[in-house]
Amino acid sequence: MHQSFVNYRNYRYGTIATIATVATIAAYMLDKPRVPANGGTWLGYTLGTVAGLLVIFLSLFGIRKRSFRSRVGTAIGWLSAHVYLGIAALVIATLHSGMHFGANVHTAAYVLMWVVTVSGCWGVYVYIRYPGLMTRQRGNLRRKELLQQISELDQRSLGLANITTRVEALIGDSVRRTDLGDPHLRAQLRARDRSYLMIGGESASQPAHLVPNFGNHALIEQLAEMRLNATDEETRATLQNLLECAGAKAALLQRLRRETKLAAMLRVWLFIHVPVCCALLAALFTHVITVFLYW
Amino acid sequence: MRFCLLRKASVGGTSKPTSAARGLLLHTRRLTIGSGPSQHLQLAAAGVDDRHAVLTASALGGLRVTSVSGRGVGVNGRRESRARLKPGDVLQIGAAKLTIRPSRSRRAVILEVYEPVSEDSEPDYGHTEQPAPGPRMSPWSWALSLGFAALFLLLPLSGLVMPGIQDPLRETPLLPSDALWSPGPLHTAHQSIGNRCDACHLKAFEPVRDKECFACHASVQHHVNIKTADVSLFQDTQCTACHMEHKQPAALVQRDPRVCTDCHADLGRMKSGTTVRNATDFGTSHPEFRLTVLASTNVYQTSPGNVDASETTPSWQAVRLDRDDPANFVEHSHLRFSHAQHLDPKGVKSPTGERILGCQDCHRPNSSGRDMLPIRMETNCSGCHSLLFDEHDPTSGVPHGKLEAVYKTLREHFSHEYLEQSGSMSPGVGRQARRPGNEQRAMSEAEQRRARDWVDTQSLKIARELLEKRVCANCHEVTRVPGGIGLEQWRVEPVQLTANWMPRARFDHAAHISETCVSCHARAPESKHATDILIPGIARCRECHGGSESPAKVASDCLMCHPFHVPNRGLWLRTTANPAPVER
Repeated sequence: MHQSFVNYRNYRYGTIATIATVATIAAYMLDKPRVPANGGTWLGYTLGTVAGLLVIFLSLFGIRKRSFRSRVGTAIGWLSAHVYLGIAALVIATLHSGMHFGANVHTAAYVLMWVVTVSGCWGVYVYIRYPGLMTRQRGNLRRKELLQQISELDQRSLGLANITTRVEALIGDSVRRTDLGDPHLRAQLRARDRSYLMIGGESASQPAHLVPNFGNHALIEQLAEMRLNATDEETRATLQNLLECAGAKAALLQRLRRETKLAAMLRVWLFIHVPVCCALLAALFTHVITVFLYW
Repeated sequence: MRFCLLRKASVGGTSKPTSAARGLLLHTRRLTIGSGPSQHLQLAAAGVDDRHAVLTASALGGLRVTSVSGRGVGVNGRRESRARLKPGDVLQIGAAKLTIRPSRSRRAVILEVYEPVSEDSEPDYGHTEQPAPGPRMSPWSWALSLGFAALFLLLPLSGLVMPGIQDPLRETPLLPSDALWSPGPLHTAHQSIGNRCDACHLKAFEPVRDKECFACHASVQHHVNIKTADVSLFQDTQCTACHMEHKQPAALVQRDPRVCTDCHADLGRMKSGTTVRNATDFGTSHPEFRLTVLASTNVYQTSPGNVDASETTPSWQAVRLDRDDPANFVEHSHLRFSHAQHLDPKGVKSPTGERILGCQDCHRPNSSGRDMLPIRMETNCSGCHSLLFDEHDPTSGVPHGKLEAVYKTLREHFSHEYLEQSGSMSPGVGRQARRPGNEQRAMSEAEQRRARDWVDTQSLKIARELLEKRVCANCHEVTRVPGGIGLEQWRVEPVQLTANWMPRARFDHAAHISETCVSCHARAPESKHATDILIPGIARCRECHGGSESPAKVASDCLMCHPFHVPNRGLWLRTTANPAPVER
């Protein structure tokens, strides 16, 4: 069986986290403190210490995963521990709180912990699911190969286009105005087709104007109309070829966009997980200091 | 406005039109120029932004260029962000060059576009490479963590260091103050403290001390008598052991029974020879109630300065009675009373005929409903029990109170009767007023002696009857004093009804209003003697009340009945701040 961070070493960290969680819940249920359960009883202090140390350990993963030369465990082992112990830490912190919440720094730290954990679970989900989806999306072709194919289709279209100036202009414009989107994360996540096409403009009575060329639809429409009105067989055949190229390109572009979107999804959760984790460390520090400052 | 775009590509340094008929006619007032796919004039040349510039034509034929990217536009060699244009002007946008050609129509602009295009240029589809790294995370991470620490730790902390900004922070809404550090609400009783955390938290990193509590709660009583050595058992007991704030749900007292049972489970370990019995749980481990009654010591003490034996004050002593010792489990109130007789379902004789009495006819709650009003002859008994010694004479009542007063009333009655019978006060003769210096004796001395003897004999006879047979003797225990003469032959035993049977515990009649009287005081309808104690035992309480963790009964912790701070034990403050000398 393929070893991933989920089943690393036969669920070693999953087992440790489960045992820790069950033990914590049992201790919480068996403990009969003199005051309603809270972070200030002996069990509360113990659970708080454990949860706090876990949070620090979990944040160390951010350093460990960057140090490729480190020999402190394997990267996959660290990830496995990070995921399982992260979930256990949330349970332990919940019981540490004794379910007492309010508008204060302590609950703020707890809420941040939820945000970090939930975004982390989202990360686990995309790490498990999206790489497979991406491979399927690309049809087992690498990204470069897809781009190569698109480029070939463009060259073929441009080569075929010199039948009339109008077709030449149209194909050239469609190639230039083909767009996969901006490089920033938000555009990648949207993966919207922002291709345009300039149509008309050959005569004063028909001024040129820009139309959206979503999925090459505008181009296909123009070419199809031309093919319908074409008189000679040769032109019609060329236009037919151009139509086929346009359709094939549209399909390839669609694949690329979806793949780009999936690749962005694979990373976007980190933009919540990591900064909020840093805020959590600050909140944890604030929580510990203030609890004992006003003992 | 019409724009006519004439595209020419510069390939290999020489400029030539890419196509003879590349003139493109556009109708718009705003011509957008940039490398993006949505621009009217799309330029692939280097240095061109996605949206780079806009050409705006006014209705009067004026033409302006505005740069919408930071790079600006070169106008005749000068870098501008906006400029008016006239025919012949040359615009430089990135590596592309645009020339405004003279036009015959004022409503048309002819734009010649030179764009250097390399031979092997490939179209750019936007993010065709691996996904770009996007925004960097570390600025966000730093901002969030430092922002949190600054807002919620450093700013409130600065209020602690600089008292000047403490109050503005606390009083201004939305400003972070140390109130944000409070882990839970204060009890409503402490809400007046508000967000002045330093009212109790005086020293940083130190738990709240008793001293801060005593600033307001100086009159708090101790658990034990502060003049005894028992106080030393409480040396390490802090207020916060039971009174914890900022917990949810907010409570003034944390009622965990262990607060009491830590000691009361084995009191002998704390103090050898203690008479207080151990208790850990009301339902399962609590001793039977011991009742406290007042017992007369039977020693008549003569009040100082008054040798008259009748002016004595009885001495009472609280004694604790054990239910396990039935012989001594009696109340000596010195009354004669039968509950059974009074609660006879057929009724009892009363001035208005037969009357059926209930408990509440005599036992009335006080205004709080917690306790019963004391039973008094005047309020509870005199309605039926008249004090007439002559039932045919409604004026022949004796007062309820001291024996001397009774005797005086009797003497007055018989004096009056003697005078009436001797005729000296018969109608017609009239009463002769005595005048000073001219006294007329109504009776001779012999007559007076005779009269006095008669009055004394009669009075004593009736007194004997009242004290030994009826009226007084109905309710009071009267003792014959051996060797006594006259009134001193009898002693009416002083009456003391127990008002508080369990002074160490609290009981609230009002809280038990749903019960009937006899559901607890079950023996009352059968009780024939005033010595019977009708207070129910613990078994009756346990029918409804269980221990503090009892699932099926009223969960009853120690504090439900027993206060920790016992009245009249002395100030707790004195044992910590300024200890009183301890008697050993």
